[in-house]
Amino acid sequence: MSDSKPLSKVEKIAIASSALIIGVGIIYWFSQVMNVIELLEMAYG
Amino acid sequence: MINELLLQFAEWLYATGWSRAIEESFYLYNWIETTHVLTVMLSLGMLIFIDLRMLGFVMPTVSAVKIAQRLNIAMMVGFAIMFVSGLLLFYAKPVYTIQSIWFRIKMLLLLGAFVNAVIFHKRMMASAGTWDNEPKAPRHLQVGAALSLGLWAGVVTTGRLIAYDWYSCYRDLPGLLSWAAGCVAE
Amino acid sequence: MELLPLSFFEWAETSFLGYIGKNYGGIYATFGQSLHLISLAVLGGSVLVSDLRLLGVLLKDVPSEVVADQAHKVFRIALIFIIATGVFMAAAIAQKLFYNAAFWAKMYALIAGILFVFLVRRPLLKGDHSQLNPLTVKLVAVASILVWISVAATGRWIGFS
Repeated sequence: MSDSKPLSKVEKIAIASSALIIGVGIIYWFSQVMNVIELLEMAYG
Repeated sequence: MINELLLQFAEWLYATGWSRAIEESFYLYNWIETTHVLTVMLSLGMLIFIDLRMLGFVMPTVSAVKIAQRLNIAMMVGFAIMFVSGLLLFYAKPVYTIQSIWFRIKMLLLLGAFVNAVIFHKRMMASAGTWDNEPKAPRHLQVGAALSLGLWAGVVTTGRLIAYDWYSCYRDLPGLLSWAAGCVAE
Repeated sequence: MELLPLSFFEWAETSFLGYIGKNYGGIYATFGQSLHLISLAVLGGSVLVSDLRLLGVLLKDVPSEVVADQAHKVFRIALIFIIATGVFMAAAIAQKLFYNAAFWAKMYALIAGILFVFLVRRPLLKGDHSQLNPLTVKLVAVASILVWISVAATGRWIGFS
């Protein structure tokens, strides 16, 4: 997607922090799901 | 009489396979409960915004009827999820729930909220076009909105209290309370 | 992992708030937990209305500046109530919380959420939205929804662990 104007400083910070939150979020929830699967496998085989 | 029937129905549900499966599962009951609690952000979240608009507290420059209409679908999706998850929660612990005085009060408040919403919606649509761009809705609709907020606050509170056993049947409750909670003589 | 020492949590349980919460279950359940849930509905509503508008899902014919601004006003009030009730609830079971992984996950998510709202999102959205890159706005909306749902979910999970 091409831009007609460059990104402002606030926008760059916004993109970086949003990406960080989304990245950490994905990792955290993925590990939570893996924990659950592991426990269910132990409990139900 | 009715308490005996309700208890019989609950015990019948309790004995079904899926009811046991949900309540006894490692995570399923907890996930269903989590969904039920978190979805208030969607269902009640939208509803609260609509009510706050009617009372003039939020987006006063935007047509109140427009806000109600635009947030309606999201709100209904939320309520659908609340209804299904709530049904499943009841189905997993039917005897406990049906003999919970808080659950019974919650159902009454829910009914009240529903009736209030239907009346509100009818009256809002009937008078739409005459006041929507005012910061506040006409007095009778403001009352409906305030009532809505109060009833739903009651629904959430009584819902939370279901988990507490202060008035459970095993505590040998006094007469009226015992009947209201659905306790049945053994 | 922990942001405050155990001694703080031990003290919290002996504080006035901790005392009330432990000994008055009715007050704990209504003014703590239930009010926390009601605040959750308001806070969640303000987040969803604002972010879903930014994602172009609802209120499309209302200027996003108006929606974001008004939703933020509601958000601030809900945040005050939700934190106050949260502190009240925590005081009564403080020591147990110190050892609870879900509690710390929630605290990190909450801090991230608050910093994100006041240092990034609000400054970004205060001005004219037409000057903003649409992808930036959508990314911010997704991050916002994700962080607040995470706070709520980890919060509920405290009760199960």
